[in-house]
Amino acid sequence: MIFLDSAATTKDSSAPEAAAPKEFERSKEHDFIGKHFQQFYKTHQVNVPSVSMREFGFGYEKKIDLRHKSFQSQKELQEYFVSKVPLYASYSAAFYEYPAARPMSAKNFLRAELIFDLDASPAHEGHNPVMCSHCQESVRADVIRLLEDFLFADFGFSKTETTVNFSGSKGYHVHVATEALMQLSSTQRDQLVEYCAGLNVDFNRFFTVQRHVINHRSIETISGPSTASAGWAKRILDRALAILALPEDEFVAKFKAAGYTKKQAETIFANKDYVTEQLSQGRWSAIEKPDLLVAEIAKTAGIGRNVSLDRAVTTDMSRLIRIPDTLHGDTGLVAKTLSLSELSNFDPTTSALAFDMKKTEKVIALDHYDFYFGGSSHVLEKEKLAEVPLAVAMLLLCKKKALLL
Amino acid sequence: MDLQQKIAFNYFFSRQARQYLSEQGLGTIANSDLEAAQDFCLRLIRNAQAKVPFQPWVAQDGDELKWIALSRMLLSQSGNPFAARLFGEGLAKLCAYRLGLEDTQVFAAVLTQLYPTLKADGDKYALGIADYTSGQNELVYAPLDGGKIFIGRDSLIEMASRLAASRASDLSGIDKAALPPLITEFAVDFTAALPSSPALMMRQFEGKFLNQGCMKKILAGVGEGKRFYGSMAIAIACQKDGLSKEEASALMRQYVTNCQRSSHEFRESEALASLDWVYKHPGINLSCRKLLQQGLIDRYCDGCPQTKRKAE
Repeated sequence: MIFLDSAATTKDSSAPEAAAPKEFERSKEHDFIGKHFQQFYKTHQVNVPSVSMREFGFGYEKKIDLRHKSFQSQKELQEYFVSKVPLYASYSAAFYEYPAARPMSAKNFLRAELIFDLDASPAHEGHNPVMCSHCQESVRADVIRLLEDFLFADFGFSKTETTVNFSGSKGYHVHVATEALMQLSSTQRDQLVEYCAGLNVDFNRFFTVQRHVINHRSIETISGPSTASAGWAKRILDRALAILALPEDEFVAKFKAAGYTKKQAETIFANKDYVTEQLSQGRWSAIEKPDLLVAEIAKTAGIGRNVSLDRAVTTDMSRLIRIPDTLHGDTGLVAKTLSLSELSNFDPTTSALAFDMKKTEKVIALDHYDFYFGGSSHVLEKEKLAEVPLAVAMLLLCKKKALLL
Repeated sequence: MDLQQKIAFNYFFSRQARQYLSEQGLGTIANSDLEAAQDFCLRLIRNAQAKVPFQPWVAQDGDELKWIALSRMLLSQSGNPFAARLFGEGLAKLCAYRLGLEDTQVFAAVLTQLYPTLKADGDKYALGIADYTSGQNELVYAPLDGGKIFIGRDSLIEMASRLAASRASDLSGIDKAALPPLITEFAVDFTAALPSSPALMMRQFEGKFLNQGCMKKILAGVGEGKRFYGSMAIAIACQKDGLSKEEASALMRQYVTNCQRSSHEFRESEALASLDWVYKHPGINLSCRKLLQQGLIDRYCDGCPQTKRKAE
């Protein structure tokens, strides 16, 4: 059985050598997946920068069944992939002096890449359990926004030191390997996630309210973000100006969603040029109830409103993360490294395929499935034999949604 | 006095100050040194607490550095985080006053030691993210653009003073067991002279739960690794005692400042987030078992309302 990780080929002989459950081990589906995963690793090099300083973890049934492993060279790592054929492979964002040592404190932490992990939130109507294009699209859109609006624009991260990879399933991982950032503490990393997510932000802090008495009348003026602002203040203004630039029907709908009456929305629309000019100068008294508009903006301005931005992955430096360009055991897709230009029109169901779409395999679906994958739609009837492309068979077998004939 | 000496004598966190102390050492410590250090420490504490205008001074020699070092040893021995915080704040106020007097050259020479990425940018200063987040500054409210935070001189002094306060009151690097016997003996009277926060707080917020020994102990400040659970316990106690959220927030802020300063800061926003959560979930009960598990207390309190409730 090629899957069992029993040989002590790594430095760490004390790590638990977890074996997959017997029933699963014996299944021909598992052997089939293993055979094809092994074939993939025989022909695809896994490149890990600073390989000897990282901790590795591998999974067969779970994402990580065993960890605290280390490798001295790329060659040793590649041999492991070919001989042990893990279904899931992860490494540490952290670099250690002794990556295989246990407990964690004995590893002697040196520094850690900064990681952002975005995943799809499947809780939406019409979610496709096999391959959901809605999930894929929403998470990809947020990764692009995370990169462009936050990491590059606000944080000024270097594009050459920032890499993105598809997770192999429903998410994306962003790795930032800038030396100065690799020394950030967990608390500092938390501040970065909090910034991107825009959670727990007291938006009132961007505004000041002053009362003046003019001709015995009390007048309230509200100052807020202007074109001279930066960071979140600027983001609020930009979003407000974008809303003000909407066509009337969308404009009114947006303001109504924010809690304005139709009449109030129409009045603001009639004066939108004046309001735009005033807001640009930080004079927020020009708009009625600006707090309602800001609250509406706050709902969508941060990352992770429709997808999940996993805070723990960024802040917990002892975490392991999927090794780029390895296979994902839940899909048979490659956790493909992407250039920033590739990301803009990346479709994992066609561009992260590890297996052939021309060769076919006969499978029996465990339920009725209807999904798009590999450039075409696939409809499988429950408990009926179907001949599907190898990549589709791998997807269904990895997801345990089909059996081999 | 040359520029290097000036920086050394006036800015305890500077490289020059560390160098001065390592070259000169503390020498033979006499009772008179400890008395001078106590006087200095109490003056800073009074200044930190004072509502009347602060009366600052500029150091002309290295005595102050010696008093700071001795004060920190005495504070460490006293085990009073509240006083340590006030000492840090007092010292930071002093540094802030001195920074305000400096010309651009000295100002930059001192502050680049706290913030290596600091650069003058017109009438403002630009700071990198790593530097900005190294203190208790909340990035989300920062004027951040292209990886730089642009702030004015006064805001920078305020930021630097917070960082200086944090460094001065972080006593985690002092090995109490290695302190000379003279210091441990002197610390007995020194400790008695220090203000005590929990007593003051309890007069203001007396409640069934907050008045328990366990809560008083937590409110006095806890160490790293326990601070989050401590904040949850306080939040639950406040909620059970019927404190308004504003009152509870004030108490929580006090708790944060009482907590041990260490390499991993515990931010006010983290503690207030616990409070928010608890006030949104009023059904949450205080678990003495959890307090024990988390090492926040070492025994159940006598007359605890929790124990009584279970017995009934």
